Amino acid sequence: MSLIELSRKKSPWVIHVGTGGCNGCDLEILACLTPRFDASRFGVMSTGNPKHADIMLVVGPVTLKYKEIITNLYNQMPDPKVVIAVGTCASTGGIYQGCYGHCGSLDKVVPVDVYIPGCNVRPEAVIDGLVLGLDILNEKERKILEEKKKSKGAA
Amino acid sequence: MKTTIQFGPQHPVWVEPLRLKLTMDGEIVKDCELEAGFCHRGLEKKFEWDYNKGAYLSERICGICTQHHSTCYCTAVEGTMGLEIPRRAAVIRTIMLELERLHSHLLAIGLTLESIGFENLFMLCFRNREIVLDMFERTTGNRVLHGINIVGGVIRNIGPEMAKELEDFCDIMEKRCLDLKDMILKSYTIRERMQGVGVMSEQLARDLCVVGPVARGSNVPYDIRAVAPYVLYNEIKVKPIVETSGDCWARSVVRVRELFQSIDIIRQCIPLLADAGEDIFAKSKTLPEKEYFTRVEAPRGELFYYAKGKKSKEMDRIKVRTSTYGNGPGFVPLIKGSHLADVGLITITFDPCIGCFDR
Amino acid sequence: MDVKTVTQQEMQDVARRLRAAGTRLITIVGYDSGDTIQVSYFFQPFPEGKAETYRVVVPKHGGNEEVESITPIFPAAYIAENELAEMFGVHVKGVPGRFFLHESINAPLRRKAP
Repeated sequence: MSLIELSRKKSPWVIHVGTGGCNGCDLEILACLTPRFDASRFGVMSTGNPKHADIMLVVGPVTLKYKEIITNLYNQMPDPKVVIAVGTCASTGGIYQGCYGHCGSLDKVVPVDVYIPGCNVRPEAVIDGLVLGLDILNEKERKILEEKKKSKGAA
Repeated sequence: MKTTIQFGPQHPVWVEPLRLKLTMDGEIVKDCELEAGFCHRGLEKKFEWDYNKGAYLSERICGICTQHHSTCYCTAVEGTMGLEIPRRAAVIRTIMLELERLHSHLLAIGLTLESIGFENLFMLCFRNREIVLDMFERTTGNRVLHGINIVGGVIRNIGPEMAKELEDFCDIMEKRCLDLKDMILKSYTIRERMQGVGVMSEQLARDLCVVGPVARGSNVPYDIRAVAPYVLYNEIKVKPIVETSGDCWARSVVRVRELFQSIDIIRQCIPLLADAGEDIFAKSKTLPEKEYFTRVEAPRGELFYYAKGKKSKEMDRIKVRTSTYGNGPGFVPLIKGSHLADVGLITITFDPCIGCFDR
Repeated sequence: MDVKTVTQQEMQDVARRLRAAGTRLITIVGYDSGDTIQVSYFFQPFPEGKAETYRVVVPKHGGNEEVESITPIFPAAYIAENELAEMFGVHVKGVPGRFFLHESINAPLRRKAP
């Protein structure tokens, strides 16, 4: 494990994006970041800027108006990045299936790495998902570094 | 030189998407345009559905005032078929409504403090809020979306042991809220930051028909619990809490003072449980056919449901008019002429709930 | 729930009278009954009194039916009238008529005439 890899490990900054859910999951994410559940134990910090973020937590079914904004946010995030769909409606559409105002689940818009089920999710589940996302993030990081090494060796 | 700033839809101050298009002249906002609909899912169409399932759907309009939404929906549908709910169900609903107001106000106060950079009081508000959520988990089984209201009553009873627990909860909560009140009201920093910012005059509040703490902060004593009492508020008299100055400070102080009002109402409700009969659910013999509307005082203000049945299991039309819908037009005149640094604070003291606003 | 049915012109006078008395507008509700669009206006006298309901019935003729706006009298009606316009595909005079909906969706609550 190289020094850079070690130093970047286990300190993901998350960006929280609400796209049209019912707020229930948004609240539980906030509860995660506050004293009772305290996701900062894992180095998780909330940021408002997509360019600083490693993990995107998305809540709610993607509404038609928000569709292009969420792709925009996704493209602004630096690699490696992980997208977590929080709650049933982000994962499948949930109770809102069949409503005209949204385009269904999140994976139709951006690639999703972790799904957290539950309507609404419990904070424990969010933390569990974050830890899963952390592993995926480290994996992606390693792949990128390996590719860089390879291309350097080839040159 | 004029610049245009897009405030939102993804902004750290708000949890939810809303877009303000600000035209700036230096630091001063000259013009403001509100764009909504980022959360519009089309729920009014979806409500043309089985009326029993509608209660669960109405909870998912907004996760912060779920209990108010489902109570209002159920009361409206019960009205269309002329159904009276048992007294015990009414008492349980009232207790739940007030618990919900507690947690919603703590959230709103916390977010307001966070927007002015007071991070540790925000954390304190959330620590206190967790106790309310624990109480919800003990009584209904869920933390946020409770799912206990159905058309005709409730599905979870509050027994004598739970009533005792609720009483203890009131004592603990009151103590914590007193601490919080001292910390907020006696803080020179918070007062200096919020006083005189975003002043809504009484005339403007009356013209725009704003509701809830926004109206009461501007000396308009409009509270549905007093104006048009529902469930148990005929017996429990509620006096609207009013502040006169109409700025961000007044709106926050109204919320802080309403915490104690809610605790007081819960205390008055608990003894009523003892002699309220055992029934918590009344089965309806008819289907919804008439039209009816109900109003509930949600934490953010007046909540309105219009229901129309068509003599079948499906409803014909449900219209939801939420509190942020009433407060929405109030953003614009307040933001015009304010500093850019105050825009976040002004909007957050309205306690905007975009999930409610757009539906 | 008692409803007073009025014409569009009468509604303007009613709105002006209620505004002068300090009444609050609760909301405007649209309903498509098949061959007509019913627009109900809910008012709450302030500080006390019972809520009042007035209804305007607009016959449907294939889209863009005209409804008089009360936004100049009650500024609070702005969002409600926009919503009425976009949800039912009617034309409310003096408001832009698009607030919540995405451009690709038109009049979702309008029903087909029987």
